[in-house]
Amino acid sequence: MAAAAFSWKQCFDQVAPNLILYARQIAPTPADAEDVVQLAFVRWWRRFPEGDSQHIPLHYGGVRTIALDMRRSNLRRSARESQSDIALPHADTPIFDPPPEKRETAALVEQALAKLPEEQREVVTLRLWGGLTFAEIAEATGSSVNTVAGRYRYALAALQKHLAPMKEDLASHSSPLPLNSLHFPQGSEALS
Amino acid sequence: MNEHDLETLLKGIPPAPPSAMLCARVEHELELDSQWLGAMPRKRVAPRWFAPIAWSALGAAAAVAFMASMPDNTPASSAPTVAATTSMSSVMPVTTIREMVDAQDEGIQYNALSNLPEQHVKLVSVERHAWIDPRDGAEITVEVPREDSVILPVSFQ
Repeated sequence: MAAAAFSWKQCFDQVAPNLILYARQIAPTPADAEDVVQLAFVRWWRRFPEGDSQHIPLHYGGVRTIALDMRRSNLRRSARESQSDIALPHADTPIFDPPPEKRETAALVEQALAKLPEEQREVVTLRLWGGLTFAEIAEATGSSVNTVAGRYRYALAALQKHLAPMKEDLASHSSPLPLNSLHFPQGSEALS
Repeated sequence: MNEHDLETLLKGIPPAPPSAMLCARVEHELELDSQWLGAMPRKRVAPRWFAPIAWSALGAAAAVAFMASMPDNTPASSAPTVAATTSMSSVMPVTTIREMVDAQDEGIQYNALSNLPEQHVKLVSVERHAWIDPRDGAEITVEVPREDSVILPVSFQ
């Protein structure tokens, strides 16, 4: 029992930040995003209590379905609240938790991400922070691999454009990760 | 900054962690699951000697069934047969919500017997019951429309 409890917590600690980041690209408010992740995680854990990492892409698919359902059902409420002068709780909660030296960069990236169309934001989040391959993203979002790859390229180009004014700052703040640590799915070169 | 640098930069920014409240909510929900599953009757494991006897019993049951299907001249019994169904509940009730949809004021009417005034109100509501199967997370939702006629005493003083 204790081992099982540790196991779900370990899994939750590992995947929850990325799931929340993804849910926040779709859900209207941060609180909704947390609700979505709660529902998705509990359902996923009931189905895969061993927490096998090969089922993680399904997890993102679950988050997407629940977030879209929630958005549809809350459409009227959201419209009413957006017209209201009352501030939504935690509406300005940042989506990143950077170390102090990357705070400025994180704020810029967050702004740049917010300017992207939702489907591009979705693909970038799943690819970079979720660690999913284009094929897995295609399955989770119900699009073709080519569409997903195209959205990713467009999103990166747009991000590059948005972040260009801070080019030098960003270059000095970027982490010195080796390029071979990047994982590209098969066939991505042909798509680029 | 090329594409690889940008990817490296973006990957290097960690997403915000979930709130402690979310973690507690998930823990509570999984705890409820484990309690519920613990309360379920465990599947009985048949002892080893049971298997050959079970096969014999199956043969005997088949023989009885064959005999029963033979044409019979005795008059049919008039007693009704009731199918006994035993089903074990495998779902857990989650919520029961009653949502008011409409309240119609039907005005003041006079009681035919007592001649006293009464206000008639019709309440239209929907009851939503939800169950969940913790084994696979399936949800069952049933909506029951309700109409209640409420009679309220009226005093003109």
